[in-house]
Amino acid sequence: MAQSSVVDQTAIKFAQTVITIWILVAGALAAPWLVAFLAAALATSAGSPSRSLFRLLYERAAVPLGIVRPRVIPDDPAPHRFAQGVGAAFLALSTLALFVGASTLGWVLAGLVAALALLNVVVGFCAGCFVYYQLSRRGWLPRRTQGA
Amino acid sequence: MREPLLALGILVLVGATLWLWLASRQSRARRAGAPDLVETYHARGAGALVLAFTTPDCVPCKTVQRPALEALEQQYPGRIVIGEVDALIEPQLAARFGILTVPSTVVIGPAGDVRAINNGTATAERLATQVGLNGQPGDIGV
Repeated sequence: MAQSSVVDQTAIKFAQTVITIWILVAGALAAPWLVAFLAAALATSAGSPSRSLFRLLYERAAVPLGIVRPRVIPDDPAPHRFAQGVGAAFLALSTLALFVGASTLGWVLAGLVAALALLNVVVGFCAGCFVYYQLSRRGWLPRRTQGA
Repeated sequence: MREPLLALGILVLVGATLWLWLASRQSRARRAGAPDLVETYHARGAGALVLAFTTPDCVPCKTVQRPALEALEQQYPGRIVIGEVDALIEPQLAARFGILTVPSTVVIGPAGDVRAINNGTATAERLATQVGLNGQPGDIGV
């Protein structure tokens, strides 16, 4: 991790909250195009954080309106971007399933993304960390020595 | 509208099953207790022992969980013993408490009673409540 790297933890939780609400609305309206839009937004966010829709909403609306307060701490942004990429991939698969008629599978995949995002917001359970730990535990990832 | 509801039902069912499985694992760990660890970490005279499970690659362990534990130590000096455990080096200890992810924390009382198992990050306030010290929140700030 670069020494200068910082991450706004509130921005991450804000994005996860938006994702959860968005998927719930998409499900309630049975609107696959909303899932497709979210998949694209998440992919953009992972690939080019400066053009992230969530960041835009956070910086231009949520913070100025005083809805949330930034909490910037030293952190590596790479795992967060990776998690967004995984979320985008799941939502892309969900979109595909929804448009080819496998609606239940499509909504299960979208619901899974919403559930994992909500779990992190509410109880601090990081799905990416879980996967990474389980893979390391089984020796499927190279092991590093304990750092700082 | 039927498919989203069916999907929600499937997710709720799978989630409930996983939750029950996790709860039963943790219940076994609680019943067994951990007086041996109180001795190992010399925590008999303290209010509680907090085991913090981590791995070298775990970023939130360093950026979120560790600052919360440090804040807890500062808030209640001498009353909490914190033991950091590399879950990859001590997999038996992680398995004993049903640790699923890192960071995770286990709160153990001075008599070896397992008070709480937190899979995922736990705030200083939450840990203080589990330890039984949460009389004065406020300035912990993590």
